[in-house]
Amino acid sequence: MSKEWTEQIPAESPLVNEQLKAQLKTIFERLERNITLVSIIDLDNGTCMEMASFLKSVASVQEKITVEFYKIGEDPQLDSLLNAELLPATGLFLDGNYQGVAFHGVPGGKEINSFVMAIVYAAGPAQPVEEKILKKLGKLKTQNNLKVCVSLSCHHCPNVVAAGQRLALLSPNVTCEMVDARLYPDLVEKYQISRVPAVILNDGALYLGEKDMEGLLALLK
Amino acid sequence: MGNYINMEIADFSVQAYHEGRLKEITKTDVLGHWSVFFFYPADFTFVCPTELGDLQDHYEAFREIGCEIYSVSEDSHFVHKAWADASDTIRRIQYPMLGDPAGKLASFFGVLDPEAGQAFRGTFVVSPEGKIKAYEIHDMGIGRNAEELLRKVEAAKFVEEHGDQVCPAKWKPGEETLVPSLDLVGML
Repeated sequence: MSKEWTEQIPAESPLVNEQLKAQLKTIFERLERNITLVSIIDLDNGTCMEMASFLKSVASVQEKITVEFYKIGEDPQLDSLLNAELLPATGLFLDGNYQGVAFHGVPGGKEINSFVMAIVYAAGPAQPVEEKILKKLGKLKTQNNLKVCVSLSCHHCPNVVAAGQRLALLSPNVTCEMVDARLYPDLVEKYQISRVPAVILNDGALYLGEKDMEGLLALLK
Repeated sequence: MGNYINMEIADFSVQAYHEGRLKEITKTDVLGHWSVFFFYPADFTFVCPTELGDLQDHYEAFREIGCEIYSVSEDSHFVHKAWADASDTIRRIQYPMLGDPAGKLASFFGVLDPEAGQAFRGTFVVSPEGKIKAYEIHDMGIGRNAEELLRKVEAAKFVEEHGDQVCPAKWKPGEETLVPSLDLVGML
């Protein structure tokens, strides 16, 4: 895909130094499939540009990873799919199909861990999942959306994001979005979020504290 | 030097002055809700009414989160009443004021100064199950802050309800994105 306007996005991000690039290169060398990171951005928004540059830098270490940028409003269907109300919104796609995993904000700090795990788990190789979890996932009857609100310095948060996104990768009935809550004060105000990780289920109930895959599954229907 | 965290409070039965009446309060009365035991040296002193008045100013907030306050000194419940009759600050207190003239409560909580026959300024946050979850002990002249105590009770209550695997989120406008810190040992 060629979009001239994406050339104004810096190819190197100050968040991705040479040491991190080397680490990512080693991890992503094992990827089994091609993966596309689709990011909806607003060129006038500093955080969007920061994320765009971050994605370019990450993708530069491994040819199996490609990045596609869309301006907000360019593809309304995509805006809806990736919940572009919270910009920047970046989703993981395999063979053109959304995998139910998205990031709102820039996965810096501790959240780089959930970001890398999402890519590896989506494109493979993924660690095996316990049979009882797969069974419970198979019994889900409705669509479940998890928004995991995080702080980039929270050491509990990446585990919850990774657990939720793992469920999303395994089930078409689950989607899971990481939300760097500091960027979205309206959301923080609406849900009175003062501690993280905070999981918003289906834009309704709020659950606080670290949860693993089983803990999150217990909330889903 | 030991510590009291998660120690269950002992059985006790003391007389108290509460809302103009004299009544008995036992361990059973403090179970089933959050409690604060607030020791102070003696009635009819100056720092104490300030602290007790500060607590009264925040009493409604404590009640809203389901917490009862029990002030305790080594005076009898009759002295508490006399103090309330004599002091405008003490008269408006709505929480129970426990009398501990035998020093049993102060001894259990480790705040009794046997030579003075008074209690150090000890504050103990007790869970609905009767377990000590937070405490502080000050020397006689060092006062305490009811607002900070309220924060502690709220935090203790939060951890009890949600577990301790949460981080306080203090976002500031314009904060920069943190530099990535990769640590995936055993995760992939």
